[in-house]
Amino acid sequence: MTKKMYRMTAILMAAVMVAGTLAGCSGGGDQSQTTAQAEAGSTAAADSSGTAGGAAETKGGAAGTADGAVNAMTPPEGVALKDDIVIGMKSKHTTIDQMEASNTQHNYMWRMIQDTLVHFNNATGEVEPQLATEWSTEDGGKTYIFKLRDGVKFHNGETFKASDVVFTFNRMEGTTSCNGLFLKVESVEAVDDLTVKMVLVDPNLDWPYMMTLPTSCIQSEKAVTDDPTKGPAVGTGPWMVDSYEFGNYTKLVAFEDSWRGAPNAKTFTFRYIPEDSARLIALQNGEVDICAEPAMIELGTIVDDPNLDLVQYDGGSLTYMAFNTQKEPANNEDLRKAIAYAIDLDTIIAVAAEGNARKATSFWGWSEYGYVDLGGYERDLDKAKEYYAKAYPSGGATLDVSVSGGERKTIAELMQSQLKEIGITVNIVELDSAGLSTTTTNGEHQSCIYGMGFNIFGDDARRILQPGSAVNKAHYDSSKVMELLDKAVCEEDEAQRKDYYKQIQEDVYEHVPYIPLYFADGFIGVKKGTGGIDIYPTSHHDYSNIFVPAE
Amino acid sequence: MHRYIIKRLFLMIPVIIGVSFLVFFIMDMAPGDAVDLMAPEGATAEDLDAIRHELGLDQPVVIRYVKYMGGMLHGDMGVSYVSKTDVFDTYMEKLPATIKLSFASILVSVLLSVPLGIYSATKQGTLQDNISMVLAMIGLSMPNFWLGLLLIIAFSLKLHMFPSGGDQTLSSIVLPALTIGTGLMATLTRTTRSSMLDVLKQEYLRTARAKGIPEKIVVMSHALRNALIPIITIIGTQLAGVLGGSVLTETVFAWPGVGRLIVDSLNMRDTPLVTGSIIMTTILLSIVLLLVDLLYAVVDPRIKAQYITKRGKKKHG
Repeated sequence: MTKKMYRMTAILMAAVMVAGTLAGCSGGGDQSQTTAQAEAGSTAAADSSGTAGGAAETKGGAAGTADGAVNAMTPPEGVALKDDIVIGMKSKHTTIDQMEASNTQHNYMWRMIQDTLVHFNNATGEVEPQLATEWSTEDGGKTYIFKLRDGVKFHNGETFKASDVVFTFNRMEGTTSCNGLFLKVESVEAVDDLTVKMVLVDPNLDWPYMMTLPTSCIQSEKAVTDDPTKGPAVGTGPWMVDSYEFGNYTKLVAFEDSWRGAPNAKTFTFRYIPEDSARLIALQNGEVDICAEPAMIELGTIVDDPNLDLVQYDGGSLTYMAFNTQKEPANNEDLRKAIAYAIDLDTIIAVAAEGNARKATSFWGWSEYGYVDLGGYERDLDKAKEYYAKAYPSGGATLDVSVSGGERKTIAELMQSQLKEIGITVNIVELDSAGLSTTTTNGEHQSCIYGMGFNIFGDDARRILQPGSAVNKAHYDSSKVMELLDKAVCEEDEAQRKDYYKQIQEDVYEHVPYIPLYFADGFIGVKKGTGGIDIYPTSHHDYSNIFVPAE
Repeated sequence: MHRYIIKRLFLMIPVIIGVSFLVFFIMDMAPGDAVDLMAPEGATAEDLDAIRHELGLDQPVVIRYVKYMGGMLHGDMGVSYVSKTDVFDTYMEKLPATIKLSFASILVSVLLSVPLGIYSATKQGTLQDNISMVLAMIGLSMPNFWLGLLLIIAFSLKLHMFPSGGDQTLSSIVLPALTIGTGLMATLTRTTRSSMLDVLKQEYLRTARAKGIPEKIVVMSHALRNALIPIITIIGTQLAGVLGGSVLTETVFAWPGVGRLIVDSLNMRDTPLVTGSIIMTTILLSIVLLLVDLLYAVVDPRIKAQYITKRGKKKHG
């Protein structure tokens, strides 16, 4: 090769590198712009998050949409609506049988295709009739009588009756999602075609609330018997499953004969688009109408796009730190207290949740019955050092914190530097979701950062405080707490009941098996003018009445 | 030839046993099992045990493996822990999308690389040669994940030419195929170039030129055919690779293929689905590689003659 040739090649390569750099700079510019926009969105979110009260509500006007039209519950008059609606999902559907999966992405579907006996009204906080028109209890919450709605049709044309309720509850045995519910029931009996009697194993005043959960949806006996694969998807909801491909999409079509009335569109398709940016671009492009769980860093892009709305709501999922109370060194209560007072929660919220969260001040769901604001652990390094000296007089404590990555890893990293200030060394143990779930259930961890969505009823806290429960990541074993839970769940005097729940929260606050961190705000990116989404703090929203304006 | 094919097919058996053994035992050793992920939040230890028993996960791994392989012998690849569907059916549901994307990607790669490699070889040491090589290297250097997003932004978001993902329309395949194809380009371009350079130095081509045959015919007809063996090898290997699933590209483009299926089921610790999918992919790859070997005989008569000679020797010997 001649010298000239070398020079030309060098120039060419330099040109390519410069072009690449410029492209990179351009991308970076976009990104920094996006970040700035996201920060603006975050500010709005942080400002508005303080307004949250009892039931979740959609925050029209948040994140730059000042006209208050975000997620209106009824379609505006005279506006043509889209017939075919598509939602881009971060997670996929793995089944069309509600007894085999109970999580955000599946609960969207169950709420659309099926009905529960009773319904929880997010706006009023009351339990309302759904498939049951009225209900009563006997024996202090041990027996429940449900009077069923007459004339309700399943998607297959069959009439809904009491025997379907009995069939559904009997079918729950041994299923992945509903076995827990099954174990609480002693017997279910069809008194007549429109009356069901349920006898519980133990009195439970929360039972009507538990009957509002998607796991309690009623299936058609005939449909499941005729076709055990597709039959479980046959419900009484305003949408019915048209087609489903595992891990790809689920298409629903409107059920015109629904007792709830016909939906506002003809089809509703769940599309699995796991990559955050691709899902958002699909929304911007018009390939999807709803972008579920947009990435925090991309919220600004939605806010800035005149064709999109950002629906923001107060999330009911608590991010917390759990100490394995059965294992060293986390079984040392003074060490746990030292850590609780050494953590700077404001910084954690600002960095890990980008400000889009509300501080958790008690280990209890903010929308859960019996919630008490205990003020949380304010950072106090002197107090932290004092507890640390009691726990480790000669210092040198080391703590493993297990995390699954993402924002929880960021939390662990922040804690690592904050705890270093009082002399505690934190080792971050990063595992994938499956690994973290199993090791923490088996109690192999020292501590972990985890999350849980609290339901509305007080006894929901049982699953995270009961010894032996898979979600009791602290392996906390307190007979006092269990006694209080048992008393509360059948206590008919409301003031007394609330006092029991207060005592439980105070116990957890005092012994620190868990440090509640924050409730992250929830977001949904939608086409401008989209509405009808019934927002749940648990993120298990109801899209049954969704509408999207036509182009 | 038939004997050779049968021998190769039989060789797949130990490969399948080895692969399934490794996958099964590695899955067992990894922390976490499907039950924890499948169980609802409120599940108690008893609930978990009930699910574990139902799935047979309370049995030792060796027994589970023997049972699984016993089922395999009867054509039963098991049922997915998560979806409760037949593993074979689930795999076959995803396979067409992967085959479609694989062939489209290989087509992109061949259409870009082979002409570029030939051109580069005929212009050896020139600026054009260097530009070709730089272009090929750029294709290799760009991570699929990043390139995929760039293509989506450019051709989907800005120009509205193609959908950003999914497998709904024919045009959906363009961007993912371009992403994978450009990634495969560098190896194929360089192989084509070096193979062509070897052949172009051969004496018989000098003779052809001396006879006055036009250079285009010398290169495209005489040289290229003899340079094809390494090129076919690379194409075959690349095809086998993409048939195994292009996880990142399938994720970015929400392409419902085998790669994403395997990774998703790995994350869910869905052992039957992971093992079944990997066994099916192994069979598929073995068949593709066998076809590539057979293609050598079509391209090169000397190799065909070897197959025939071996068979003749065995008959007489």
